[in-house]
Parts: sequence; C-alpha cells; structure tokens
Amino acid sequence: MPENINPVNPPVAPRPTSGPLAPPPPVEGWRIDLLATFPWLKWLVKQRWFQFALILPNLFLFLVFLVAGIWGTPVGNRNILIVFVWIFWWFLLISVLVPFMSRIWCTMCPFPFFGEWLQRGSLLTPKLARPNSNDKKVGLNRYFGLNLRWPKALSNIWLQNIGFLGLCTFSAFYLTRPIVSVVVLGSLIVIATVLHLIFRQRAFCNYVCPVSGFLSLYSMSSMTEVRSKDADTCLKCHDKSCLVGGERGWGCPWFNYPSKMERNNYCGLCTECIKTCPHDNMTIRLRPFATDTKLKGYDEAWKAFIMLSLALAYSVIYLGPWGFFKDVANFTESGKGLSYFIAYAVCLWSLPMLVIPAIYSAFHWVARRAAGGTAKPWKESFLTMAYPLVPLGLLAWIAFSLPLIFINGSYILVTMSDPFGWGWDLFHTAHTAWSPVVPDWMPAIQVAILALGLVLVLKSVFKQAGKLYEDQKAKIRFAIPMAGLMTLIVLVFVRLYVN
Amino acid sequence: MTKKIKDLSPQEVLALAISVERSNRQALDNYAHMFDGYDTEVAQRFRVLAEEESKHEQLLRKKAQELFGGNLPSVDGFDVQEVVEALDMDDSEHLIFDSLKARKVYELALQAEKKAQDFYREAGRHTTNKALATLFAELGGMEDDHAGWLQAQLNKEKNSEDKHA
Repeated sequence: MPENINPVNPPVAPRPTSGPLAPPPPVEGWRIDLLATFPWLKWLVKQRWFQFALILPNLFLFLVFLVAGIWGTPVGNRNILIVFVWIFWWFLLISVLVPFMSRIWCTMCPFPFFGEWLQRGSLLTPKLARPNSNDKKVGLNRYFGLNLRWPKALSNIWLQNIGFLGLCTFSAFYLTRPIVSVVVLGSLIVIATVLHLIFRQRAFCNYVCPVSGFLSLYSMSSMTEVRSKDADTCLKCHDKSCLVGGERGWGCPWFNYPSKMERNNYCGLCTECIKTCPHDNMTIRLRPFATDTKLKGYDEAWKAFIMLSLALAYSVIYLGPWGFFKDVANFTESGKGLSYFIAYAVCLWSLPMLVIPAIYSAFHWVARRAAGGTAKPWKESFLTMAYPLVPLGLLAWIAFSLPLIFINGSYILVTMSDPFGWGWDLFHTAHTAWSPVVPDWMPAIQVAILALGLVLVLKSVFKQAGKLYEDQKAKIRFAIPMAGLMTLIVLVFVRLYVN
Repeated sequence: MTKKIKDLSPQEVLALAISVERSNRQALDNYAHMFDGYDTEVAQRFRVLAEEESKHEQLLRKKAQELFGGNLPSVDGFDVQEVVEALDMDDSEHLIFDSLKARKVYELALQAEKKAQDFYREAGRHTTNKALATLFAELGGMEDDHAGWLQAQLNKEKNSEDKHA
C-alpha cells in the first residue's frame, strides 16, 4: 500500500448513523493526500497569489488570442485563436485536465477575473466587512457591487444546459471564423464581469457559464478532489471559515460548504478553503476514476444527456464521412439554405432534450418492470441510473477529441510561430507541413477508449442498481436492460469511429 | 494530546460544556450570516438557535459558579477526542440550490441536542467518579430541556401546517 493512503475520517466515538452528525459515507477506494505527499504543493496552494499566478499568464494568452481573432488572418487553421482554443485547449481540457485534475481549469479561467477583482475590490488580500457598517458582505468578507443572491428559480444548471446547446448549435461558425470566436469569448468575459457586479460571488460560474456546466458534471469522474481530512475537526470548528471566509481567505466563492463536500461538481478548485481553514483540515486528494456517483437533479441528468448527444452529433458532423452535415452546420459558407440549418438545429436540440431522454426513460421503465417488487421512486431511480452516462460521456468526448490533436496537431506548431497569420516565424515552425500522427491507428485508439468506458460503465450500472434494489435477483434484472442501453450507445460510437 | 471525556475532571467537563455551547453559538451565527439574503426564515432560525446556545452557556456558567466558584480550566472541543454537540448542515450544496428549509434547521438542531443527551448519558455510565457522573446527568438533563424546546417548536409548526391543510 503506497504511503499516505489513509483510511478517511475514522470516528473516535459512537456516532449516530444518519443525519449531519453521522460519520461521512464510507469512502470507496484508495486516496492519496497530495498535500501531505508533496509539501511544496501545500506551500504553493496556501499562497494568496497561487490562483492569480495561474490566471495571469492565461489572461495574457487570452488577450493575445482575442487580438489574433480581430486583426489576425481570417483563415481558421492559420489563426492561433482557433487552433489553440478549439483544438489544443479543448483537447487538453477534456482529455487531461478534467479526468485527472477536476476543475483545475476553473482555477485559472480568465473569464471571471475582472468581475471577481471588481467584486472583491482586491486582487490578493481578502477584505473583512467592518462591524456595524453598511458594507456589502457575504459571511465575514466585504464585497462590492450589488451583491444580490442568485434567483432561486434559476439555482440549477438549466441555464448552462441551454447556453451550451445554444453555443454548440453555432459551433461551425466559431470553429472556423476567428472573429466569431472573439464575439463568443469576449461576450463571456463581459457577461461574467457584469454578473459579478450584480450577484454575489461566483454566480456566473455556478449557474451561467456554459463551460462550467459540463466541467461540473465531468469533474465527478475526475481523479482529484478537495475534501476535509477529518469530519470531527469540522464538526468542532466554530469558525466555519471555509464557508464564511475571514482574514486568511474568502468564503467559498462557489457557495459550497467545503467541510461537508462529498462531490466535485461545484468545487472550482480555487483553494480558498485550504487557505482559510484554521485547523489545516482541508486537502487535495487523488482518488480512483469515477468516484462521485450521485446526480442530484434532472438538470444534471439532462446535462449528461446533452453531453453524450453532442459527442455523438459532433462525431457525425466533424469526424464522419458525410460532408452534407458539415455543410448544413456551416450553412453561410457552404451555401446550404437557412431552412437546412433550422432543421439541423431542431435535430441537434431534440436529440439531447427529447430523443435520448425518451430512449433512456423507456429502458429505465423496462428495467423497473423487469425488476418487479417495490421500486424506489421514479426520480431517484432515474437519476441513480443516469450516472453511468457521466463517465461514458467523458470517455466518448475523449475519443472524439483525440483526432483533433493527432490529425490537426501540426497547426499548433504553425500558429505558435505565426499566431496572427502575418508571415512571422518566431520558432521556425511556421512552415511545418500538415502531418497527421498515426491516422491509421486512430479508430483503434478510439475503440480502445470506448471499450474501457464500457467496462467502467457496466460496472457502474450494476453498482448503481445495487443502491436501488437490495434483492440480488431484482438488482440483476433491473441492471440488464440498463447495461444493454449503455452497450448500445458504445456500439453506435464504435460504428461511427470505425467507419 | 487529546483526552477522552471520561478522563476529565468535573471542572474540565463543565469548562468543556461551556466551550461547546459558545462554539455552537458562533457556528450558528456564521450560518445565519451565510443565509442572509436567502430564505429569511432560515437565517432567522439560525439566529434563534444561536441565542438559545448563548442562554445555555449562561446557565452552565451559573452552574460553574455554584459548583466551583467560577474557577474553571481552559478546555475546548479540540482538547477531547469525542464530539459532544455540534449542529452541522447535512449537505454542502444547500447554498448552491437554496435547498435548506426552515423546518430542517430545527430538525438538525434537534438531532444535535439528542446526540448531546446520548453523549452525556453514555459518559455518565462509563465514569466511576461520582461527582462527574452527577454532573453528566445534569448536563444530559439540560440537553433534554433543549431537545424538548426544539421538539415543541417542531410540533407547533406541524400542528399549524395540519390546520392549514
């Protein structure tokens, strides 16, 4: 057993078995406390400048990209904005950052930077609200702006679901035209800044940012988590600094109560809780893939449907041999009529919002009938069994994204040397020829990833079914149709990629 | 080095009980701050509970005055292994989904008080020190009162809901 793999939170005294004082649910699998293993990392994340140091270079690059988008070449694969954001960043995000480092992107994301700066009135040092003053505050910290709470009716990820689908509908425009990408990315910065001035803390990130929505979902599968080390220490703590903030740091900007955190979805890895905890009780741990398994609402389940459907749709549009679909998606350039594009948009929205959920519901209904006996409520069972779509969707996206970098990776070298397409050759790579890497192997690699996904997902289906049915036979009868559905989905992807 | 509560002296136990009530008041005040601007009833309930904890602290201080002339050592929750009493939220995402209901606040408090009752009773059963056993019994009794108050609030609410239904 490697060092620093600790049993988590062993209770020291008899504890109730349910309620907030109950011991935390048993933690499945191994954990490696990264801050205990790497003291330099602990030192680093405890520095107030840590997050700023990650954001700053990113912000600089982002501004360069925007400049390139406005004044650089309009040829997509020669413009650094298109190549770095939609090929390199996307691949890095979905294939490396999310699976291994959860929402580390949110730690360094430049979108909320200006808004958060204005909202906090400080870049680094946390500000305390002055007692008996009219300071706008959340917990113990002082904030500027209107500091309103986000409307209750919108306290979910439906806006993000719709926003992401909306963005994806027009993907062919911004994937090929730098100026459209500038409008999209620039708008996100403007919206984030305005919302930070109206609503408290990271309302934009939690409820609006379309990227944050899928990061939230797929971070459940990630191999990194921020959690408390010892539940009893948190119970005894009256400061609750991770929640309300204090002199050492801001209260959780994501509205989480970090000491009780049991899933990654809404943890933006800002590391404020690690800085503020007076008992040094928050840490970052490594864990097995696909550990968080609880979807809490239909909004999250639909996010899983949306992501899976889009992976499927994009595989058809961008990787498939059917040029027709690409032409329809990019109708202004291809000359296809608007009516084709409208039909495409209707199909793109219907697939995740209606078709896939309907198919899933049908299988779920059959599974419940097959299991017989007393079933858990429909909603609980629906959400529990929707979870396997999360790791499946993530692996499908990785399979989709691999060709982006392997086939088109040489454009990265080109645009690094000539970011604006102005004929520069900064690193002597501007004239690198388009050279796909192992193109013949690509389908095999994609199928291998999907096969790995299928194994994980089938395991997960049976485990999730066990949460709904105690009786072993009922559990198996319930799991079989759901496992059939997951297998069917994987086979559709395999068919697409092998073709 | 943390001790087990049964190994504390009566003075230390009382000092711990006072510290726990004070600590709970601060935690509840902090929750109230966070729910300001959300459901006002939720924030208000945390404040009511914080005040209750403050009253409990005063009662215990009075007790300490009677028993030990007010001279108590410095002991807090972190000096002992066990968790005596702590109201904690049951979900880390209440503020994200605005999902904490006012009734739930009292239910959480009731669970905490019941836990404290059980804790003192259990501690009383395991000590051979008679003075300490008496003190545990008294502290358990006080927690009974607190739990009774919360139960009464919840019953009142339920009756009122039933009437409206």
